[in-house]
Amino acid sequence: MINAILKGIFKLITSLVSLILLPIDAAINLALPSVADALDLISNFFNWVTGLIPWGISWFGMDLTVRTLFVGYITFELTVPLTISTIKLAIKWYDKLKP
Amino acid sequence: MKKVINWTFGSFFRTLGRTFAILGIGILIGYILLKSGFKLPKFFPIMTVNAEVIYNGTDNPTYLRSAIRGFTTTGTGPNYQGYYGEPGTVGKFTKDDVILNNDNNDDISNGIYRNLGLGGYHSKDLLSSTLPEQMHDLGLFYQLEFLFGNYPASGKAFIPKGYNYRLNILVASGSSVDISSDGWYYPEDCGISFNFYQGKYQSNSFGCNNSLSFKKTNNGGNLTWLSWSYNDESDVGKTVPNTNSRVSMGFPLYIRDSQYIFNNDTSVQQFGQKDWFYILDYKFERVPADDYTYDDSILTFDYPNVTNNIWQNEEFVYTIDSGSGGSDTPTEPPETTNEDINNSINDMNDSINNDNIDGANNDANSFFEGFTSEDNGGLSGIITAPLNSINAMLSDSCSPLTTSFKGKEIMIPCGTDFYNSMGEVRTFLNMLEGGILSYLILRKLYFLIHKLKNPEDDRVEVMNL
Repeated sequence: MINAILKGIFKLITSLVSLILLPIDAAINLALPSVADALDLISNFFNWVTGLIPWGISWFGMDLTVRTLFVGYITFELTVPLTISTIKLAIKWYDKLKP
Repeated sequence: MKKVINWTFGSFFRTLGRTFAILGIGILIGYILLKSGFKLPKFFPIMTVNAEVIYNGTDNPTYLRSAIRGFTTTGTGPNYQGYYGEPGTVGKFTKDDVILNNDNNDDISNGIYRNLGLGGYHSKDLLSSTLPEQMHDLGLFYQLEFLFGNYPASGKAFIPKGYNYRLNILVASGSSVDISSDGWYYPEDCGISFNFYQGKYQSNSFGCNNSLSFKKTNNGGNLTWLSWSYNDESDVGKTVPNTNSRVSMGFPLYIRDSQYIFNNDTSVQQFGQKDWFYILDYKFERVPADDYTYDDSILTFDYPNVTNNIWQNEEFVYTIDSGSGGSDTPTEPPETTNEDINNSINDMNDSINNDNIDGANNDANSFFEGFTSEDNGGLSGIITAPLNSINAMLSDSCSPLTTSFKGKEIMIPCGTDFYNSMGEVRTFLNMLEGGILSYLILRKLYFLIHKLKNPEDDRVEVMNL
């Protein structure tokens, strides 16, 4: 269940980033096709590397539970501090701005 | 705010910088591997141009065979009985039999011709014993089967995900081929099936849809390229379950439910407009996502010098006429009545008032299923690469690495196979790794939360991407 949620979160973020960058990608494709090809090559290289990760991970002998814990930690560290700090910042602004 | 902006842009450019650094290292490694005989194109699909030939018949022992399946009809349509004719060993296409290398625009007249369907691989007696007589009367369809390799490595994906595929078949006919007037022919039933023979048997079939079409691209005299595209990527990428599995991919090529070849006494029926139907070459390609049309520019080779000496001894005929078999005829939309509208409103109300969330999990999962790496543009693919990498850590689908070194095929298996053979030691190793990692993570979490609890501390401290 946690595994599925984590996967969902990553897919959601990736989808949203792709959505935001879609017009930029389209513009590059239209105006600078060579650059678009180069970016595609880089992107495909990353995809290739990403495809190797399960193989690499498999040699660590880690159970899925451990991996889920690790990825969950990464997710936590990438999201929660930023969120809380932003809230703290907002509260500070409010304190300063309030009459 | 300044810190947030600094962090955001800082991490972006830091990621970008590291990306290019990794890319440079990757290119260096790739260059070294290339020099040592490593088949890099296998792992760099984008480096191949418009259409990469995946299986072009030259990869011995990959070969093509034909199979035959019969069906009867019921009131509602074809009723498939699942009778297959067993292909004979004579049906193998080896690299010596493949007659055309399209990449070099070779003249195909020097090759060996194999015909499709009955004549090449099945004897009349075999068919009559394999298929019941009622099937002879009602319908047969001819299926091309690609057998990929002898016994691929366990876990090896034979059709990578994230691409579209196209089967191109070059056929020749004795007189004329007229599949349909508009050049497109939609088989009355079609699909692709993936099968694993021996070992654990699996089969996956996919139905006919608009993306799976049969196109006649060039009638040029006696030659015709038939192109069959497949762009439903949801179920490709099947992996071989074990080392005793043979992978095949079947393409029902032509279906007739109104005409037949055999009658009850299994003698050959010949119809008015008959054509000899021969396979001259085939390619199974990986094509760009937006390329569903066939590139006619590939037809730049010379026409073969077809002679009767090659064809006249074939025993069976394959009939083709200007088929009506199109499902592309537009139909009138059904008329909407007030009752239909009321039913729709009631359904909507039921849906709104329904508080059952049992299916929410599945629905939530399916929401994300549609997204693939194909949706990425180049830029977004780069930006999201770190996230994709982290996500890949949760994947259990490991494929062994294969490469060739000095002409010798080398396979590095997944670590899972190794650890599975260790038995209890693996459990101990998992406990050890899991315990240490869990301790470190919980320790970091403790300090992180301790910092976050301080209301005066608004520093943004996240790990560097």
